[in-house]
Amino acid sequence: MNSCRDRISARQLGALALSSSGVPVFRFCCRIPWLWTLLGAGAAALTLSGLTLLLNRRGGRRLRPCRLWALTPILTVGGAATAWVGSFAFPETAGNWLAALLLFGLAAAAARIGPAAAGRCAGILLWTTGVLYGIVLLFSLPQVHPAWLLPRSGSPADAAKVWAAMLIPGGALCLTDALGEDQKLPHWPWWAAALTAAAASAVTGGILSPALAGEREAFRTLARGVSVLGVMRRFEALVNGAMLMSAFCLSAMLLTAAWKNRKRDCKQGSIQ
Amino acid sequence: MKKLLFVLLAAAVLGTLGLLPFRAVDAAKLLPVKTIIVTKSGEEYTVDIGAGVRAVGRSLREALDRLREEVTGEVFLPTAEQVVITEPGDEAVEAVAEETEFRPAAGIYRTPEPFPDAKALGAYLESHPSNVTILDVRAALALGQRPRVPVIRAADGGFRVDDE
Repeated sequence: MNSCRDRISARQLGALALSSSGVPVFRFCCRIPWLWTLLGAGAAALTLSGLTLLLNRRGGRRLRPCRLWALTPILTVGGAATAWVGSFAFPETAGNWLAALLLFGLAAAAARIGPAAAGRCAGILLWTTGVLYGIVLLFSLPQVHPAWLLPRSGSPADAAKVWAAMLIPGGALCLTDALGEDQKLPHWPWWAAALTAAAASAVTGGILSPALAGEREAFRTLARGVSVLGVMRRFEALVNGAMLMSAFCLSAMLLTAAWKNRKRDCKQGSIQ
Repeated sequence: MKKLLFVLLAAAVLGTLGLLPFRAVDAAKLLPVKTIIVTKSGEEYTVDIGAGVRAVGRSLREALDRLREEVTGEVFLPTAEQVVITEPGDEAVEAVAEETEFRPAAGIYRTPEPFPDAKALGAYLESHPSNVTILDVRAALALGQRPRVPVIRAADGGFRVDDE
């Protein structure tokens, strides 16, 4: 029988999936023209929603998309790669191996405790990051140039890239085993992430222009220009913090899934 | 408890060795900048942040680096709300637009003649914010358009801002 640390509620898992999507949304999707982002993120939401439907069926959680032993190293490498990406959240720690290692260590510690730890963290961080990203997007709206929103740039290949990036938070599907017997993985995180990606892309492109929106740190540039009611400025440090929190959530989610999978492998091995 | 002590000890050791990926800045040494005046004469850029603090370089980047080296304290450029450019051509405008250290939403102005009193100019510009920002100029340049930068002129003992 699972201990309470090995259990996660459906809402916590949803929060973990949505807060993890901050990494692909604000580091990658916002640099793609909004129409292609909407299409790609919509397709990813549809894919993940279909998988959720499949896993939520009676006994569906026992579905195994591929051999489990292959998943553990993939998820671990994904968690480590996310920690490396997270080190770029603050310009002064960009590419610093120690910063990445610290983030990886924190995520691994959360994974070691169990899905409940990552779920509780995500429950708090989702609100924190949501409010920060929301303030930046909302107060940037008056600066949007409608002419720059006309769908003139981009290509279907961009939609495919967005689709691939937005599938990463789907790692939450590997944690459905940790849900209680009467709980089902919700669909809302996938659609909320798709809408956030489209909104972030539209605001970034509408303010920075299609020519500048493709730059590496487009969302950070956008955040540096935000002014709330003409009084509060310099949100970039907060946005950098939000990016770090999103990276932690994604890394913790992937490592928790890897750890849980490893334990399942061991159990199966002992049975065999 | 043992784990927490281990983490704190590790943090203390890394901090002592200067390996922690964080940079500490003494807040008392911060020099927040309000107005930056960039002058281009010949091949030289001069950056003036007021109170007689200025530096010269062959490029804007070099001038900013020298400013950091020569000034006692930590020059904090992202707080600058206005950048005034003293140059008839577009080279300095492009250099300012490309400089990522400036706040993208900072207003940008051009002036045909240098103003000796940067403080008075800054006070005037604070109450007359520019409707053209560094980000607007950067976007115009990226789109292959000529940026339209407002011009400040001396008028009746004060200043006047005209659209280009």
